[in-house]
Amino acid sequence: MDGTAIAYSEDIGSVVRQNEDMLLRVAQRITRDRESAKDALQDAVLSVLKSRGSFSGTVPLKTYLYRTVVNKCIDMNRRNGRWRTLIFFMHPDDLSDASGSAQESTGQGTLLKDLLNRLPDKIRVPFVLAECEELPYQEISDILKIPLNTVRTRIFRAREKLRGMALKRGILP
Amino acid sequence: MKQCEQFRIMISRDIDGDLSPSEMALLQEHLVLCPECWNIHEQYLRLRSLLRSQPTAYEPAFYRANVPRSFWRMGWKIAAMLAICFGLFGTILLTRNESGEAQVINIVDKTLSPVMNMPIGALAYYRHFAGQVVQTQFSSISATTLPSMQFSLSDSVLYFYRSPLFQDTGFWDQHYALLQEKEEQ
Repeated sequence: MDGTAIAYSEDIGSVVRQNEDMLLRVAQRITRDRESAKDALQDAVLSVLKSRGSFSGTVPLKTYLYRTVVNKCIDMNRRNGRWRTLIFFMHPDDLSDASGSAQESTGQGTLLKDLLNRLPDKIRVPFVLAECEELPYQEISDILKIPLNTVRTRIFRAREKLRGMALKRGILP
Repeated sequence: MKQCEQFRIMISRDIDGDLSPSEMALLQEHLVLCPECWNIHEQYLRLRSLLRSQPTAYEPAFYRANVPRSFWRMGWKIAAMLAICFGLFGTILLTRNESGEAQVINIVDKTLSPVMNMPIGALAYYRHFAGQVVQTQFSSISATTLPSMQFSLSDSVLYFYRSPLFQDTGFWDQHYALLQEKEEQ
């Protein structure tokens, strides 16, 4: 390891330590599972450390790390079909009943997040990045490597679907 | 309302701050005129505030799902899986052979074969284990191999090399006589 490499890994270490909560939250949103999120974050940090040659320096290290985490999470979702199986076997009403009779505002929020988790990855991931992480569309299109107009359409479709499900369960007036 | 469809995706983009100023003006104009789209705009905003209500205390539904009770509500999915299981089981049940270890099929009498090595029949040999066929072996029978096969598969072969046709009933004599008569005519 030469001097620049060591500096680079120390940089990564500090960036990871500073943004650990944020990165973990994003990963958890996308993978829908705390343990998978931790795995994905670890994978991402490892691959960033390994591929220091491909880091061009045109974007901040934080953004680069962020992109890698998102991509790792998508890979992980693709790899474990656990959620797909679970959703296939669960009746839509189970989630709403499981959250109990407490239907106040916070309960509705959790319920809505459960509904969000049921959307297919294709439209859910761009939507999560836009709605929960407040990323601009251009950034999402860069991270996911899909055209800008596709990002717009997918986010719109996710929103419409979520709205439909929420209306059906009386979350929205 | 064909044009409302166009505006709805703009509403979605507007909420995420993706619209240019001119597009935003266009949308505002439409929202004033169209109560439906305005309603949808409000609903999108409400969704956003609900989704952002508690960012930290987030527990995936995976752990809370009430799976045992949902078992009976899976309805057609269970029915489909049971149908597949019964189909497989039934196929195995019907195709297994309980009549014996080996069967001789289609034996033709060796005296009808002019060449001794020519196949005059076929033998199917099935080995069973736990009610299922685990090994099948097909071999052709010729007049020369016929005596030796009796020993190679002696424990399991039901052996019959005289066909019911080969009896001294004069069947073939009559047959040939008829053929010859036809040829002469």
